[in-house]
Amino acid sequence: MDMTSKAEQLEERLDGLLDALEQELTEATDEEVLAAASDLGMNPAMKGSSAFFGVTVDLRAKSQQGHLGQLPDWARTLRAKDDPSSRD
Amino acid sequence: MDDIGGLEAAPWPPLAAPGRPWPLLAALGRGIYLYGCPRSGPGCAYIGQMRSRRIYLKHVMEVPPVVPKTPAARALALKLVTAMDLLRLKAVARLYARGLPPEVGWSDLLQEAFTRVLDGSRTCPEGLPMVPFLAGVMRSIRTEHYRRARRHAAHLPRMLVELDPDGDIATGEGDRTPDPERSLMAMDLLTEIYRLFTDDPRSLQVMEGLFEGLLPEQIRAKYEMSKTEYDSTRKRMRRTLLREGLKWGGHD
Repeated sequence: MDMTSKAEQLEERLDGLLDALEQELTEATDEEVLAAASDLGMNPAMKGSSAFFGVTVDLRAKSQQGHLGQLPDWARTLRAKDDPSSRD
Repeated sequence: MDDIGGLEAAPWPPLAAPGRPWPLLAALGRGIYLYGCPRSGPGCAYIGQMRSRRIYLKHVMEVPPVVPKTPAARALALKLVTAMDLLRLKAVARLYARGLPPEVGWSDLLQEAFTRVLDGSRTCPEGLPMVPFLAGVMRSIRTEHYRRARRHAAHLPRMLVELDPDGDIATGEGDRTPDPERSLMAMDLLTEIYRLFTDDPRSLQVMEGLFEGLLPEQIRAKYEMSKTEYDSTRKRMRRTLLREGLKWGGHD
C-alpha cells in the first residue's frame, strides 16, 4: 500500500470516528448538556452565561470595539497599571 | 462563578454617586447593591457594599453598548434552534476545530455554519432536525479548510521552482501530495481526541472500535462488554466530550 492510500485510509477512519462522536454530541439530552456545564461551574440558564461566549456573544467583536474605551477614566487607569504593555 | 469572572477591585468613581439601584438585582441581605454606571450606560454596573460606606466597588460587567448579534444569536432569536442546541453545536464545533489551522477557530466554524443557513446558501432538508444538519454543515466547512490547506501545500513546490530557477532550494518535487503531512495532521487530531479519555480504558476501547469502523455489537464482542457497560461507557464519553466542548478558552 502506498503512502497516499495509507493517508486516505487513516483520514477515512478518522472521519468515521468524528462522525460517531458528532452523533454522540448532537443526540445528547438537555440534562446531559446541563450536567456537563454544571461540572464546569456554568449555568446556561443564567443570562450572559460564559457557556455562550463565542456562540451568542462575539468576543472578538467586543475586543475590537475598543472595549477599554467604554470604561470610565478611573477603571482605565487601573487597567493600565495592570497592563505591562502600556507601561512605556 | 459564571457571570462575575471579571471582577475587579476599584475605588468608588467620583461621578458615581449612589445612583439608581440596578433594576435586575434586588438588594441582597448583606447590603450589596448593583448600580447603573453613570458613564458607560445601562450595560455597565457596579456592586457597592453598603456596610463599608461604599468604599469598595467592583466593576462587574463591561458590555459595550452595541454588541453585534452573532449569526447563532440571530438563529436563536428566530427560534431555529434552542439555547441547548447552541451548546450541543458549540461542542461539535470544538470537536471539528481540532486539527484546523490556528487562524480558524471553533467559533468561526460555528458562526459560518449559521451564516450559511441564514443567508440561504444551505437549506435544511425537510424532516431533518436542525442540530445534525448544522453539524453536517460544519463538517463540510472543515473539509473545505482541509482541501484549501492541501491545495496551498501542493502549490508550494511549484512556487519554489518559480522563485528559485537555479534549483538551489530542495523542492521535493517527487512528493506531489503532502501525504506525510496529511498523515501527521490526522494522527495529531487522533492523539488529541484519545487524550481526552486516557483515564478511562473502556472509553478508549470503544474509541478504538469506532475508529476501526465497528458496530456497537462488534465492539461489545471484541472487548467483552455487556450492553449496560457499553451504554454507560458511551454516556461517560458523551459527558467528557460535552465538558470539553463547553470549556472556556482553548482554540478560539
